[in-house]
Amino acid sequence: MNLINNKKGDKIISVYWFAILIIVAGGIFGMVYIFYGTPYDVREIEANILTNQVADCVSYAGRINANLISNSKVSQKTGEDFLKMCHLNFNSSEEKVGQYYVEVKFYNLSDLNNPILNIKAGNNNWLADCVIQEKQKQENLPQCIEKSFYSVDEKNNQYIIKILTAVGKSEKNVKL
Amino acid sequence: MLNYRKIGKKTRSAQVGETVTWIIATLIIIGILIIFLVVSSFMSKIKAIHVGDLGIDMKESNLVKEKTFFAEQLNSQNKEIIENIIKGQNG
Repeated sequence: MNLINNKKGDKIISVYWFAILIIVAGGIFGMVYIFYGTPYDVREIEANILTNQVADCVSYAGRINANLISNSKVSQKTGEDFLKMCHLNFNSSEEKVGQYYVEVKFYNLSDLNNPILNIKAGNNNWLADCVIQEKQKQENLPQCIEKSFYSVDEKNNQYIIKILTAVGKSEKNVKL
Repeated sequence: MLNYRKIGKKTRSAQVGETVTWIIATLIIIGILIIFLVVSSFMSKIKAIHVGDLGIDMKESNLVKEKTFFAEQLNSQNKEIIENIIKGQNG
């Protein structure tokens, strides 16, 4: 009788160990899944790279691109022309909706409120989200970067150039 | 003569003690697992890579700043005003 009871106890202990093993394995699986299931958010860096690319296109070695402003004469450009000029391609086979937006504003030093040239390219739906991001940073919304710099044209007329870039791609960079 | 009732009582209390030990051990294991799960969940939220996190070369090569510097070499009139405007806009 006692022997039978001891065997029962051993069985219970075995089941208990098995249950603990499953719990621990499940916990480890959960940890790995949570950590590696979340993608790296590289949108800020992507927006910075895009800003640098656009800045390089509109001003090189301190001089404004002559295709945009030449001898104080402004050549209006459409978004598509601008993207072509800067060798940028916002179309992606992976995404149905455009994930990038770029806005470049050129200001005369004398009037910083009214841009003399305003170029917009990409998906302008992100622009509204940039306004929200300014007030309160939210991961699910696109990452926006705004940078300004100074440049001169061929006649050394002075301009301030403001570049705003927005990168969507929330699905790929944030766990929704 | 052996007192079987006393021995039975002692055996039972030993079993209860052992069971309590197992239950506490299980709770500790589950507790540790929950702590690790919470920590991994917290760590997954800070997986965003910012420009400041990158190597020193990338951090210091501020292309936009360089552009202002080059333009100032060409025309340095109103230098202070321009720098103040850019500082204000770039934050």
